[in-house]
Amino acid sequence: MGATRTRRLLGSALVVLSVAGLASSPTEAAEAVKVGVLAPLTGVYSIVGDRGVKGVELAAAEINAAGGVLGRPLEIIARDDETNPEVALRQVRRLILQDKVVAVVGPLHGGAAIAVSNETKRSQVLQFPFAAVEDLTTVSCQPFLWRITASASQTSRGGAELAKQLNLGSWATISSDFSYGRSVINYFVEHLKDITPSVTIATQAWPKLGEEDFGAYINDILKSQPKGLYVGLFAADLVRFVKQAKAFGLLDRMTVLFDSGGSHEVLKSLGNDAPFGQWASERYNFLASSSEANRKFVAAFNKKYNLYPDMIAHDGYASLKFFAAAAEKAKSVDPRKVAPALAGLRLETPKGVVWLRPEDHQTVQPTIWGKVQRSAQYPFPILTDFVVVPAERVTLPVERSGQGCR
Amino acid sequence: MPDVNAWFWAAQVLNGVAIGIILFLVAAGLTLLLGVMGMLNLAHGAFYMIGAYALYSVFATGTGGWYGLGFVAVIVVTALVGAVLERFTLRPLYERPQGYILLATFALVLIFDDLVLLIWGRAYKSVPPPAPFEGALLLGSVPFPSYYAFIILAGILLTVALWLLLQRTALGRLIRALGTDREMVAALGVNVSRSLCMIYVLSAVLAGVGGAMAAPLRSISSGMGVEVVIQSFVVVVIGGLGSIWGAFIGALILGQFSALGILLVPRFAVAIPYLVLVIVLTWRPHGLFGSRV
Repeated sequence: MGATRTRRLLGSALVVLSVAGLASSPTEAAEAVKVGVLAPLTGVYSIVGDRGVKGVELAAAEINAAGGVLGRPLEIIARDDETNPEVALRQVRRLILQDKVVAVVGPLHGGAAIAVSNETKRSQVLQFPFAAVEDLTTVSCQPFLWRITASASQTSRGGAELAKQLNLGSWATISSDFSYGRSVINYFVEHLKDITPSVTIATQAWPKLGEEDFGAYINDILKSQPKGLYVGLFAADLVRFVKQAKAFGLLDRMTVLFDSGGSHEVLKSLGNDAPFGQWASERYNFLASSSEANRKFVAAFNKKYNLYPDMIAHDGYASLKFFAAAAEKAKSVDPRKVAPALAGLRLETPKGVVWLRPEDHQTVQPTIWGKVQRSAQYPFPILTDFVVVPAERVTLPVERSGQGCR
Repeated sequence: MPDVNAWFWAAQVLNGVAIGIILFLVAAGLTLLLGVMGMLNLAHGAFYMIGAYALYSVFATGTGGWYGLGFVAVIVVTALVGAVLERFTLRPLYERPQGYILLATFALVLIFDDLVLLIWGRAYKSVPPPAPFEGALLLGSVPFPSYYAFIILAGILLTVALWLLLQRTALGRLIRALGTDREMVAALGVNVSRSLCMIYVLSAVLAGVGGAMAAPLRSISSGMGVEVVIQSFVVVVIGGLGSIWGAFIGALILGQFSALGILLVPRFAVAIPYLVLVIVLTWRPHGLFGSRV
């Protein structure tokens, strides 16, 4: 009985709301353009996924305030992919069949992004993944998938360029033993050897994903006495590694580069245990650019959510801006017309001016590295002394990318 | 003066001892429940997690001496949660087939993983080692975390205390008697329900202390207890179900194999605990210190 009553109440509330909505819109209500977001909204990674959704929603609010896309408002539908390829696939089908979305932003999980890509390709719906896994723009490149997020290789090739500048001579690496973790290190080592042939790799450690105790690996790295260490670990693994590396005194004995370790959440949770003075990269950092676009984005995000935007917030925001710009250019929201309009599209995002390469559908964008520092202004460690490695140097050469699109 | 290489291996061995000690604290509680109550408690990892979060909560208040105060909080909180759980979710199931307890404790794992997210939020939490143990000691020229040294010493003291408790006190005699013949103990006028509750509380506190001791070296997050409980099961089976000494030796063996195995056969490091398990079980089907049932 309670349920029926609630439903009836909800029903009348909906009627009232829609009447109010009709009354307040002076023009004939244009049909909304629907865009889905797939991200982890429950579980450990939900704190990241949540910001992705917020970024997309902020962009939608801005676009709608300026008159929408081709005069039509954008409607964002966020669904929980539970960081699981099977769930993501089920949810993307729901978004496409039931909600009739024309584009999907996400997922963050590499395997889930690839699974969803098969579906968006088949159903001819646009996809802007959060995932950095290289395959999406190499062997799995497809007409409807365009990546605004930096790829794994852009970050680690940028790391190699920074390593060259630091000129330390010998390096060790550590990363989780799974496809993404390995590709991060392999791109770093390969590019570093390319640009500094005299470099030596002292040792390479491959702990399992979710390793609790890095002591043995840390000991081994200390023994091989490299001048620099390149770290590909992320999330909880990275938190554990930093704490244990600090306990072993490793951070005082060598220069350490954390690939994507600048990620907001990791620095925040480490607090006073953060690796101060060492280098970390972030695909987007809210302090790295003083452009008008960035200033406005950070202020708007902070005002709306009382949070500072991180890389996934930026990438979600920029993805929707790219979609809107391409739809205006194509004069249609039909994915088959928007996709060609994305090719070569150049846009100023808060990170800077980036453009989508037609050959592999990857944005050509610089890589940002900075030093981890304490901050009086922010209640968490920040990055300073930014080194921005130019886009041309970090993006994979065209002949090694976009295989799936040839 | 031993050379660098010798110090390196010494550090590696001590590293394994520290891992083993934490494993033992968790496994001791598991094996106690198995030995005395025949209970396979999947929710054991929840106490490991609660211990770590309780320590974090005290740390987050910023009080001086948070580490010591934190351990008091850990013991109080895990004991309370353990007592409530035992009384209201497990006791009604004692007379039912084992499967019910297994399912109930599995449900508790899921409930606590979400409860922790509700209470402490979704971000990873982190506590530093207590101030006197922040840096590294030098073994020869090889650095070794002083907090690991602290874990080893504190762990040995706790182990001795646990041994004294089980062997030299009335409570210990009662626990051992309950494991041998519960009906006879009841017939002698002992309140069996209350004793079983106390054993459950003891096991919960041991896991909580293990989690709190590990917290400064690991990340504190929902689901952190799962991996450690799987490893503890391996330890308990290697040592022999219900044997505290077995769990101690099993945990040290596993700690050594993890620490050294990573260096010697890195590609098989993940499989090592299970290989050890298979070898021990083939050689001694009841575990190292298990008695034939």
